[in-house]
Amino acid sequence: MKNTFGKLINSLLKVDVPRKPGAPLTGPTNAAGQAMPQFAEVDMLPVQQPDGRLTKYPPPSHWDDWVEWDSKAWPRKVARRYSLVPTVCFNCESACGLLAYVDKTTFEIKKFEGNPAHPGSRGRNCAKGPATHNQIYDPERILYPLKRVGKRGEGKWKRISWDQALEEISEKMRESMDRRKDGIMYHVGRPGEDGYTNRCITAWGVDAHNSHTNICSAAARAGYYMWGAFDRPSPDHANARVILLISSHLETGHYFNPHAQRIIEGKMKGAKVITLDPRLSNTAAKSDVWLPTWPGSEQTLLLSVANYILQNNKYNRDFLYNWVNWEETLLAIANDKLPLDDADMLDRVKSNTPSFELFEDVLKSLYAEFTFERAAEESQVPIERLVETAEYIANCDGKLASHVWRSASMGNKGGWQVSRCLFFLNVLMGAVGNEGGTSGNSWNKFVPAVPNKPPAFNAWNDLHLPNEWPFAFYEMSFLLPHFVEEGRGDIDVYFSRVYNPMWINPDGFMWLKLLQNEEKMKCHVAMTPTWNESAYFADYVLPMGHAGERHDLMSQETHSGQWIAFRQPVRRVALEKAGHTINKTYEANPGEVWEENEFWLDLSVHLDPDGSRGIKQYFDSPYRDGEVITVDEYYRWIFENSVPGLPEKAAAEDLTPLEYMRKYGAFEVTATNYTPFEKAVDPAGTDIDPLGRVMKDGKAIGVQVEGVSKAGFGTPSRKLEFFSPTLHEWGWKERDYSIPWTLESHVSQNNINLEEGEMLLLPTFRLPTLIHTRSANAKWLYEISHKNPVWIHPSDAQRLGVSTGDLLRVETEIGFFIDTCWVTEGIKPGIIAMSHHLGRWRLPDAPGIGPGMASVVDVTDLGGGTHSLNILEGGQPWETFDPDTSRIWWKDVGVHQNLTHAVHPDPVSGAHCWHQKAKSVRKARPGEKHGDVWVDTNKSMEIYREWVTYARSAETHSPDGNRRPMWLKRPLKPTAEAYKLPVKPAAPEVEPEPEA
Amino acid sequence: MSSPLSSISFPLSPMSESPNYLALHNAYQLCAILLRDGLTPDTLPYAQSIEPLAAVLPSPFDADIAASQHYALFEEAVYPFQSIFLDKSNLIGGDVAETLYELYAALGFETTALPDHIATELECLAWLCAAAAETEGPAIENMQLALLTEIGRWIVPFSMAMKRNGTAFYQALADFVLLAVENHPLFAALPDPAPLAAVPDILADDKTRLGDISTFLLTPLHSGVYLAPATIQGIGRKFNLPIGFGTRNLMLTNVFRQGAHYNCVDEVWQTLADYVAQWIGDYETQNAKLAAPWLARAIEMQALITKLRAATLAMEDTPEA
Ligand code: SF4
Repeated sequence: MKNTFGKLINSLLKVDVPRKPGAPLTGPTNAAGQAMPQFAEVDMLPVQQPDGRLTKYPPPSHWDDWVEWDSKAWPRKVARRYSLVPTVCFNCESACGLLAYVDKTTFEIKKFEGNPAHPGSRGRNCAKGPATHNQIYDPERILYPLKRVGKRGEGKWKRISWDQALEEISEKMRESMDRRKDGIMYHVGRPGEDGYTNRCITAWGVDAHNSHTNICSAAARAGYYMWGAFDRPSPDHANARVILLISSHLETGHYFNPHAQRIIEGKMKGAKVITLDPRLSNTAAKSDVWLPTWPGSEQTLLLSVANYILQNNKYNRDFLYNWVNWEETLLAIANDKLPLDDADMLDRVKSNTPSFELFEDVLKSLYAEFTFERAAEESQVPIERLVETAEYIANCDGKLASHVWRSASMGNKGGWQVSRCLFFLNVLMGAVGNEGGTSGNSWNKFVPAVPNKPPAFNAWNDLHLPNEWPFAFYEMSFLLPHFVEEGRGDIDVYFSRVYNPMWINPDGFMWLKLLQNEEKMKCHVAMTPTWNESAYFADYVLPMGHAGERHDLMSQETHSGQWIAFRQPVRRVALEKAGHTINKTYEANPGEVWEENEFWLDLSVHLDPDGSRGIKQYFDSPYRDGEVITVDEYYRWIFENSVPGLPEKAAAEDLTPLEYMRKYGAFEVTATNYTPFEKAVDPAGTDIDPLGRVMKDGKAIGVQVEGVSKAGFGTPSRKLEFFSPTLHEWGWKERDYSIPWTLESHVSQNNINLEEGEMLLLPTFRLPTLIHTRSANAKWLYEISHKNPVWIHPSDAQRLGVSTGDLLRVETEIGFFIDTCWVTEGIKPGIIAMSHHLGRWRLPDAPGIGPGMASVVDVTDLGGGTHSLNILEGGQPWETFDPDTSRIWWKDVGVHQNLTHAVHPDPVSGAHCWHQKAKSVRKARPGEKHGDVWVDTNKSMEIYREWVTYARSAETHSPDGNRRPMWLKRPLKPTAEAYKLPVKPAAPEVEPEPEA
Repeated sequence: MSSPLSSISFPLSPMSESPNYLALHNAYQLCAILLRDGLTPDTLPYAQSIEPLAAVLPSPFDADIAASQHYALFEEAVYPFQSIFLDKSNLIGGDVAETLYELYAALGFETTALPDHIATELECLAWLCAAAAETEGPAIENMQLALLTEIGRWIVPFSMAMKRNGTAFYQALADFVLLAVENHPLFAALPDPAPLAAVPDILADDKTRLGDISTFLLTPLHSGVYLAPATIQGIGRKFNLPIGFGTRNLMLTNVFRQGAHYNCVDEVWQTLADYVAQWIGDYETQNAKLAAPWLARAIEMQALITKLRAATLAMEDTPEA
């Protein structure tokens, strides 16, 4: 061998190889030439991740004193000591764990990383989690409470103290409460917490809760709820064989990081991912099967799969037999409540004793019309893909994890049937609550009891839940300006809380009108961590904390287990550990940024200083007689009393439960919670009613299944309701509503006339780095995505004569906007798509969103109900303490399309059906500029009124004199008395007109 | 802090031939470049100038294909890091990398590359050879011996894994790297390498699951062999087992799990045993000094397989920890 190499020596000498300069050291030293400080070696905490990455974290035993080299000092090795404080991300609803690195010398937050002790996120985050750091150190954030000076919207503010804010706001609230129980409105955008604020509001005794749910997830919730009395799905992606998604949430959507990591886990174990989406989303691109459906055809597609399962006897007979209300369904058919087209089948049902076999035949007959051919035609998806999908699902062995949240359900009229049809597949496959299947959210989300819970309030605010939509999930918040315009009511004190209603809702100029109306909206308090378009029109702007600046408790249905996580103001915690005394969290936060917990507490006590209103009693300390509860005591009580297993786990480490949660930031209540509906019910004191339900004290608490009393579901029948007696009784008598069926969308192929130049505008997606209206305060996220061009298919682009970068004018039902286009095959022909979280703006000379993140605009009331918005300047660099703000390289920060969206309240779920009819789409003409928006609010009201006529009001359809079925969820439920429809005064007798 | 060199003392033997350190510098340096960058228009002339490599160069040369072959070998199949072969965690970094950091610091060798990458180690060796061409004496020889010791600890299984997974060019390069190391003039002065650290008794731990057994097998320090993704996929394909995709650990675990479902776990283990036997055969053809610890480990592995096989059968349905 030596010889072989020897022969090579000569040739090697001839090679001209680059030579590294420098010479070896003659004596020992270290690479940096410095004495390195010595720290004890630490064994990192390994966390087993399925993909092998991010496996090591600082161990909790070292979180109080963690040493790292200062990265900015590189290549010098400068040691810094940190206190690592766990908290919870606030940038989407997933509630992933974060670990804040708080410098022990300066108490600055160095960075946020993942919390390995968090069972949902398991140490990982998406880009938005660590971006919390950008938000906290955003140069444009609001640091002090502000009060408007001059006219509303004029942009003049003065700094006030928190005491003054509390005094003045509570005074206005007291005045309102003295007169009415529906004058205060708390309108929440990102809740990001479980129960704290709702408890406070309940204690006030008024119907104040208003949420953004109707522009978010109402439709999917309604569909799920009618099946099993849970309003969200909780798919067990990690153990699934088939993952069926009607959304892009693997990469960008709800429960983003916790779900995405488990979808990948399932996929790595061989699961097939199937995605329905007209757009080639990141998720669709990573799926085994992408079904680019025409919007509104999803129900037909799903039912064609159901039909395949049924006709091929691939369904889970036992599950259907035990857990679906088949007897009730057959009875409904026999009593002509559920029409069947097949006369022979109807005859068989009427003339035979009900049997499960009969029900099977009914199902096969009902859904026989949903052939793959029909589904292919309606959806414009190749039939082979549908067959492939059906085969995957039919052979999934009951391991079908499915999910729809917004997407098709929120895009289309009748979209609530999308979740009903989707879950129908789970029911057929018996993939409900099992390993690899889909659970109800409440089975995997842990909500602890709170101390001293106030009783339900006796009030009903018609601006929240008017009678037209008895099935609304939930408050009809996006129609608030339209209701007020119609003279339905006014608001004394309006809290917008981490919410930007005029920007995020459809028909924004109607919101602008409302926010400017000081008679109808008497006081607007904007509680927000960041400036936003709606806050300009507030009377008070109260700066509230980001993820590391507040206390909250959260849990989410991220997987098959249950956990709770504790959000903490990390500087406060680190300062207190270092021996500092902090009385209020704003002392530890930047400026006087406060946390909501302490604010609500102080506000509630200000409302009732002497206890005479009966409010203060709910804010008494459970530990100190006669004293007001503190935030610490509130959580201490919960952790000691209503989180099973936590006290024991804490004691094992010689900690109190509160200390444990402060240390770890999260606690796993249970690792898995499969099929809770199968749990046995204690038979003591129960009766079985004729429907087989287990009754106790007049209430159904379970159901008999094969002679055993089991917990069942929260529906009236305690079973999964295929036929919904409730929908039928409340006026939705047609088969299309009472069982999983198709409803025609307002943007179905029939309703978009492509030949006339109409197109479908799809606005229901966002890019993965966007945080609703708070991304503009996270510089690095904005650098990644800051514009929202119109996606258009090459065939449409060719027809319109545009190419990427050209300006398009898109006309909606109420106005138009102008934006650049992006020509891509990632969208179906006939559809244009636009991400809905961009196009932020600010008024000239007004405070607000950083100049690099928002356009400066001119908003003009043109008279006669018409309005315009024009961009004066695009994004640009600006000088602050942060050198990055002077490095802004982009100008296009998007177009505010929502202003031009007409409102579309779904007649059943009340959801805003987001898809818009683009009445015309053409290349912009000279003089038409990027970002131009024009809207006619008269048209807005016309469309609104048209859609109201589709609803079926409780006033004409309520079977029991209530405004809403009692068993349906409301974020805060009032008393039974408040549910009663007001008795209308009898119409005065009218004298007949004398005959002519 | 003491220098890692201070604890090393080698019995230097007088060299029979005068070493041509400049040629050695070139040999190690071009190995480092070819291992790190693969064949590119820039590196192609180096390969062309060495006869055994020139003979197997792809013709015609396509830079894109060459780049993909390099990626497939070193980013997907064989991770060219000493820690992958010698760290008990089978991860990059850790104690092995730390030792090298310290060694480089002591030598004064500056690099921003990962220290235990084969190319970094060879580049450092080349740099020492360049110095040795100009300076003689025990200091520079000690330095080379310290680094050669490290390289010698893993070069044999690494080059064998490279040969099993690379194209003809990389197979030749693997031979050439080994040849260059074994022909270092101080090679004979290297002490016999220490036996590999004892294998942990994973079966004594009742928390051991299929995933742990897979990790064990995938850790060359424990199993004595290197299992590339293609090897695992090959086993899956042989028995028509669905194994998904992802990390080697996940795929191997799936092979066991699915093997149990499809009643062929015995056959899976037999295939693994055959694979280990092939490695044993290959070790026996290598330089006995460097291969001895690995040969011993692979023989140990062969005996362990019977026990592991019984254990996996018992745990087929136990969920992962
Ligand atoms: S998924 Fe949501 S909660 Fe988790 S890190 Fe991202 S933004 Fe934060």
